[in-house]
Amino acid sequence: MPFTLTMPKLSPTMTEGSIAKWHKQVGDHVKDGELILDIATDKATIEYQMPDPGYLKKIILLEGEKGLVGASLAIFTADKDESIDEYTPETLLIKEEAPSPVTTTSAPQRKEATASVERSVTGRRILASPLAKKIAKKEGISLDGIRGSGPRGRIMSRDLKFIPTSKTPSIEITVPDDAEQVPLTTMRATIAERLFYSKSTIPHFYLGLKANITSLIALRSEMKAAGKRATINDFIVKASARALMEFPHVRSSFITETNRIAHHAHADISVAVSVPGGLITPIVFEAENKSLEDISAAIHALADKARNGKLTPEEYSGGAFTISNMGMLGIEEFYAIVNPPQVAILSVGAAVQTPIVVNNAIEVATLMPLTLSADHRVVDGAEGAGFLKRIQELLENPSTLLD
Amino acid sequence: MEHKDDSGLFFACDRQKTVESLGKETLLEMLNEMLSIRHFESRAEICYQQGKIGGFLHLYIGQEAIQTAALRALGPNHWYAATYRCHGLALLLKETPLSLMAELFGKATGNAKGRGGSMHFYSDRLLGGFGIVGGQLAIGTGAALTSKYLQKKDEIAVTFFGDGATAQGTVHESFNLAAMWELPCLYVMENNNWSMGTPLHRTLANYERLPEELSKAYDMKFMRLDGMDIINCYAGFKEALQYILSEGKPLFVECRADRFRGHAISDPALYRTKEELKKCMDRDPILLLKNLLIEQGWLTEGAFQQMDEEMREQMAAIAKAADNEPWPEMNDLEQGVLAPAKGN
Amino acid sequence: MQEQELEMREALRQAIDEEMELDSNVLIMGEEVGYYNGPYKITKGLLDKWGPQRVIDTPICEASFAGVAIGAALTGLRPIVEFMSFNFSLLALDQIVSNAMKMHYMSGGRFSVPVVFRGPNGAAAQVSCQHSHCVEAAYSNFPGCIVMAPSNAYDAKGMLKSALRCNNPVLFLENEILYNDKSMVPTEEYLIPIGEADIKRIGSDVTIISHSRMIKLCLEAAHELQLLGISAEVIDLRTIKPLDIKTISTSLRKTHFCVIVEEGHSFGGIASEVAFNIQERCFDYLDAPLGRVCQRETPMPYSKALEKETLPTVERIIAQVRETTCH
Repeated sequence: MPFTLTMPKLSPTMTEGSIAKWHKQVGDHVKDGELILDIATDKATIEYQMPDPGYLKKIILLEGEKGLVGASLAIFTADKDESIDEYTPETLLIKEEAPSPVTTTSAPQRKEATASVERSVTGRRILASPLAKKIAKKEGISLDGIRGSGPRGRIMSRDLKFIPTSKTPSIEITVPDDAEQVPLTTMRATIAERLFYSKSTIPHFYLGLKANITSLIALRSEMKAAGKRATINDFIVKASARALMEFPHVRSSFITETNRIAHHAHADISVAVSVPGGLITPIVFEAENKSLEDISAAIHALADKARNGKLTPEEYSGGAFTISNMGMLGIEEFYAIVNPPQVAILSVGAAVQTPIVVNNAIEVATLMPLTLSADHRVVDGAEGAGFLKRIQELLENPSTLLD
Repeated sequence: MEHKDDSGLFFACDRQKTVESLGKETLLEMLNEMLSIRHFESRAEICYQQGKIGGFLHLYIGQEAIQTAALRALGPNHWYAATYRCHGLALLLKETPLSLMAELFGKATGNAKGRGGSMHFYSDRLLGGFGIVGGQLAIGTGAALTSKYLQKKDEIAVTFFGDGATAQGTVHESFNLAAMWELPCLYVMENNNWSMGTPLHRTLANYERLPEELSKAYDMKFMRLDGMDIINCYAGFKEALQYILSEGKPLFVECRADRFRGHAISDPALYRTKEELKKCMDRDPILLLKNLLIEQGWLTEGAFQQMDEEMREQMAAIAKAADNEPWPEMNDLEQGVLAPAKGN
Repeated sequence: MQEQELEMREALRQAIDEEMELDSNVLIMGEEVGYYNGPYKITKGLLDKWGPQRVIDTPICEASFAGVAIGAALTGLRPIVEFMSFNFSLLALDQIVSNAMKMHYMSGGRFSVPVVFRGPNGAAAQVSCQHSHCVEAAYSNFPGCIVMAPSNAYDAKGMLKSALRCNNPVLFLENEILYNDKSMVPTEEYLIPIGEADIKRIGSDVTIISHSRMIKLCLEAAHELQLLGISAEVIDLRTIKPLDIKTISTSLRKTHFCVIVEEGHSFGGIASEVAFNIQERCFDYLDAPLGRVCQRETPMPYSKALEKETLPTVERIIAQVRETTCH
């Protein structure tokens, strides 16, 4: 059997060698262990011993020639008279070892890529925690526009707690072609956004009663005669301020981001003022510490500013409670929408002379309807009732409001 | 290795008596065992050069007499621990050449399922092939602890190590423990004079006397054997076993020998001259035993050539067969890192 | 069920004693474990009871006595090695890693190594730079071992018994300062499985994960956090490797926030491994990035106040929890 002598790997890092010297000639018999060649590697010239005995029949790689590890160097036969005519020299070129095909264990279940980058309509990247993204996706909430409470404005799951989901049913809207369509003004858009938010996320409930302001009207006439001007509304503000200091839950804001109730230190009362194109609510700060005259003056000044569009944000943001009076418009009863983050709003209707029963006899009194709209997350029925009753009590004993 | 003054250097044995006690059959078996180691190692070397074996390959060529004699004198029913030059020991402990060659090739049917390689051969009595020089001394000492603990009266623990390991702390620590706790340890230093390329005189202070002095320091019995002379080794190991079993104390054997190759496959051994190597190879243990057997009339040159050739062919066939053994399954890669719980 | 109040050292001693009773191949070796009755009295009385063949005093030679134990484990015994502290185990690192941990795999499954290396780990009281190492991260990185760390007497006994019955090398990391701590321990035998974490305090707002002595600090922090309105769930890993990611992820699905506390250092520490597992398994349940509180990047200083400052403190844990939960 002919066999091939191939270029040996003489060190772990050897890749090729060259023949420095053949020590035998064609026709020689070489014993195993006998010196057959000198091989030059990049490190040294090594003497190479014959691995198995045989007769040298043909030299393939000549002195001075280079070959890769495993390349054919010469052909030998075990027996002297064997022919090598039919024999093709073999090589043992080292291929990349490819054992059994790599069957990877099944990759761990790939979760749905919930971490796609969300961008706001302005193109800015929206930061949101993985959990917030998951909830948003599930509830169909758009993260765009939500104020995140995490670092760098990152939206966290708690920021989504009171966001309306997009699961509202859609309806077909048809409007006649000749209806004039106008875009929303900034004020209109803000009112729309805020009141939509308020009505759809705040659980409103309503309490109503009528205050007998007969004595109040009499007192006011006396004051007017004495040169002291005060509107019924000023009295209502004063009474509300006093009542607010006695009912801290009503004097609160609900902070959805942190699920906290902020108890305001003062009765900062927002007074709804109708202005061209909408309404605004400038604030009478620390109303509990102001006299009727001060309240009167403050409201007067603020309403002026409001109607001229000159209110600053500090003057209309951050109140603890709102009073809305539609009495002068002839409305008997109405149910205002809570002004978030506040938790209550007082709706004042028109005062009307009404027959009442006192000690089984009919009398005429001036009754003014008051409705309290409250956020039931913070204010319970009993507390709301207590608060509203207190206002009624103060208005029916108006001298207590003079200090 | 230069034997400066042979008189009194080695264990004094009655050679003829030993030869006669062994007899023709046993000695021929021992010669065949040495040939099997020699040809296994040579074939492994060829296969490495053909790219079939990778990593480290430390060949036992030249030192065959030591472990062949040891196994013959002690028997297989002890605990064995060795260096990374462990192929001969695994063959002597009856691991099949095919399973060992398959292990070298990295195949699934290899001795350690392709996971250990050249330095880590095992048998039910062989605790390894160990890769970190000197570490196995503590392992062997621990095995002796078990033998004593379980009161195995006929069992010892044999630990092979090289001359270079003697510098390592664990050697001294192990000698201390074995001597103080009286453990049935046989420590065998195979002194081939070379740590890779550093000769012993640059490794150990007082290098010629240190092994013996070290033994004395720990009050441990010492013996020095001619590692190229299988008869001397056999006689020495036989006496060593007797001593350990009867005294229950450890014994340290220094075997002076030569390795005929470099430290490992990539070592061209340029630190030895051709003349020095030839001088070593003049005392080839296989040749020495062959000549002894021929002198005794128990072997002819022709018969020896036949034994040699048969063994060479046998190992060549083993290598071919190993080439056809299956590769490990990739999916099994992470199996068997931890042992299963009891009862599994 | 009958219970008694035990110190951790006594609970450990009972575990060792009971396992030595159940299996005659169990033995213990280490410095001062015999005549001295143990440097921390864990092995008190064992020499008198079991004799010098089973309770072995070793010289100061960690590499070799660890290797001897491994050799014994390979050949049929079930040894316990007590390291006077795990700082000294580093002298035996080669034996533990190259021999104990590798053997089952390297031998193709032929040999197993039922050995338990135990002893105090981490800082004691002002024992300075070379006696305060936390080794769990270093050892855990290597395949082939089990790493456990009890935080109380009850866990310690059940865990050590399980460690002694498993067939693999276990690094059982105790803590010197915990040895005096007492808890109620059943008088009847019980085992705590390897690989099972334990919820030490149920909570809903944040998950705090820790092990060993730091559990006490986490529970203290959790108490203070409750007063701030933050309800913390505290998970005690008990077994560090293999990690019980299931208990952790169940908790995170509830709380969405996590802080990991360890006595070891931050780089490549246990917290980083736990954190990776969490983000891999629970990414969509996280409402914030994970936080960790580790030992500061210094060797252990001697001076008392410096030592306290470099280790995790209740204040740092509270601060990290508040930062992570945005409170």
